Amino acid sequence: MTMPKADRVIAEIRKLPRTDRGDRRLAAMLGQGAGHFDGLSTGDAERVRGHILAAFGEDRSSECALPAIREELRTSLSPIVLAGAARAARSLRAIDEEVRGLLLAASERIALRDEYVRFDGAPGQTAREEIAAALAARPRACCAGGAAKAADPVRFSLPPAAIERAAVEDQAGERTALAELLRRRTSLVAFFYTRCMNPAKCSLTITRLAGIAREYEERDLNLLGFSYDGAYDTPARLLAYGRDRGFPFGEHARLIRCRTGWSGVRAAFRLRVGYGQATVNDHARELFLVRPDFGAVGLDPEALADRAAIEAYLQAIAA
Amino acid sequence: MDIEALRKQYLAELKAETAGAAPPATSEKVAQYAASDKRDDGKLCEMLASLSLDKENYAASVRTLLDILANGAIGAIARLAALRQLGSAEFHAVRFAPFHAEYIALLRRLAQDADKDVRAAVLERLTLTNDSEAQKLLREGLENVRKALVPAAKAVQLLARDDHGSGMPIFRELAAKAKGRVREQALRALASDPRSAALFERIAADKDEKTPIREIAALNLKNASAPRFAKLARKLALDDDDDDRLRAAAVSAITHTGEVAARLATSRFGNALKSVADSTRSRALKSSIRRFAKTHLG
Repeated sequence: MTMPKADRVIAEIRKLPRTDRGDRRLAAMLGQGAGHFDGLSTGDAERVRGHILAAFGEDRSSECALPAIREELRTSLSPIVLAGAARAARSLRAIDEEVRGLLLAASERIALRDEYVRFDGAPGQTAREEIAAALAARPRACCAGGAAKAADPVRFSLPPAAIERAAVEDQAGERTALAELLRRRTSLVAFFYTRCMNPAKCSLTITRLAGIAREYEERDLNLLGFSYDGAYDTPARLLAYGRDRGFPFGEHARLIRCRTGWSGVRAAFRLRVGYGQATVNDHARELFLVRPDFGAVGLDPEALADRAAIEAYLQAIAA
Repeated sequence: MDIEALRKQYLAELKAETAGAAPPATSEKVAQYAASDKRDDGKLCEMLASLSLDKENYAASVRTLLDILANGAIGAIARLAALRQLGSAEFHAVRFAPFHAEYIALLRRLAQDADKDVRAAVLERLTLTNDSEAQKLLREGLENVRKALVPAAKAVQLLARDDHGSGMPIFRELAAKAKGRVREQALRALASDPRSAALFERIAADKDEKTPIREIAALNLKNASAPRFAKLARKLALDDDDDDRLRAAAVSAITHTGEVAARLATSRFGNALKSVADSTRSRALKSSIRRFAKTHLG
């Protein structure tokens, strides 16, 4: 009998050398769009992700995985992913105040749904016990250097060919070329899908985007929620999802899905999204500012809750 | 009867009933009885049902319930009674939190219990919260990778609860090839699968298929692809040789689905439906057409 894909990936993780290069390869495996997540169920994708993170706790340096560790601690509801993130946090040079706060928040988030997790076959601890162990661990370095500095936004250009090929449809059923929509004005683009079951991800993203859209009604800015799951997210579903979250639909504010050219869009934005047999199996929170000339900046998704950050990004991209 | 008198009567009845009832069983007594050689499973069930889940007794009661559920030497009927009581205990989410990890680990083990009723009840509970291990066991049973833990139709029904549709490839295969209840459940499980639109279309249009199966396929198509459903529903509604029940369902679905109605609410279609209403003897079809006309043609 062939070994299931998730088990094969987990076996490969264990073979990675404990070197800087091995650590970087391990960190790269956390990208939700990577091939080893293709076709996995959500449960298997979480199991693989938990194991990748936990592997950092085995005499490796977790620094290169810090953004992923923070993001999982901030949003995940999965005991195995959080337990993995906690193990990874234990091998950081220091657990700074931000990570400590995120560990506490993660433990609180799963307080009513804690589970035993196993990383190496032996009966394990619960996810909250893993988190408690990370909190009790002494930082390896003497100081964390204060609050974590936000990573510089990633600037890139969307390949025109891929964008030109994509056709989109909005919640009202209005169809347009993605290129035309983006050329009209600068766009703030957040990715989401209506079947996302994590309230700290897509639902929160669209609720926050709706808040910005209401405030920025008079600004010359497109506010676009772009579905990862175009086949399922029909105009009627996009409309209902937006309405439930107070999204002020209009010329500048739309929820859209791709009708053609999704694979090109996915590659152009370098989206961190993986697909199972029916829908998304895991994804990051992803937010971009796109200029009419397709120059793009990947933003910290938490910026949606911070008007000053959005303003700073808008000024930067205008410059 | 005066409402105040009714209230007093109800409270008096409640008080009399409570006074007459046996005192709640304590966890110690239940545990002792469960361990005794002269145990009767029926009596144990009664004791379990009256086990107090009050704040003071909560932890001890849950501990006892978990022990009884885990004990394979006790009859399935009593273990299932313990599982039901644990279901009640779960409602106190904060009090239950210290037991949650152990409970889920136990349920995952019992998903492969020797007793089929225990397996089914446990899988029922686990799939309610999208438990990935339970889903994996059910998938593997349907794929014949392992011995099936529950009948195939039940497995499909439970696996269909997965919000992320991990069973979709199996459901597609079963909806196309299986028979009877399994096929029906698989079709239901595919309710909003956009990739199955062609399959729904084929089944719904096939007069050799049974009407309930065609009806499920047609309504699935409405969810999966409104434009394709509009085309199919129009054809069904106007085909005098087709089943009246299906035609009535098609007209109702058109009426209540804005996107579809927007495509079909023309005077031409309205007139064609009026002719159908005049000629059919089906009251359901006549009524569906009346509703459509009233809603969309004024």
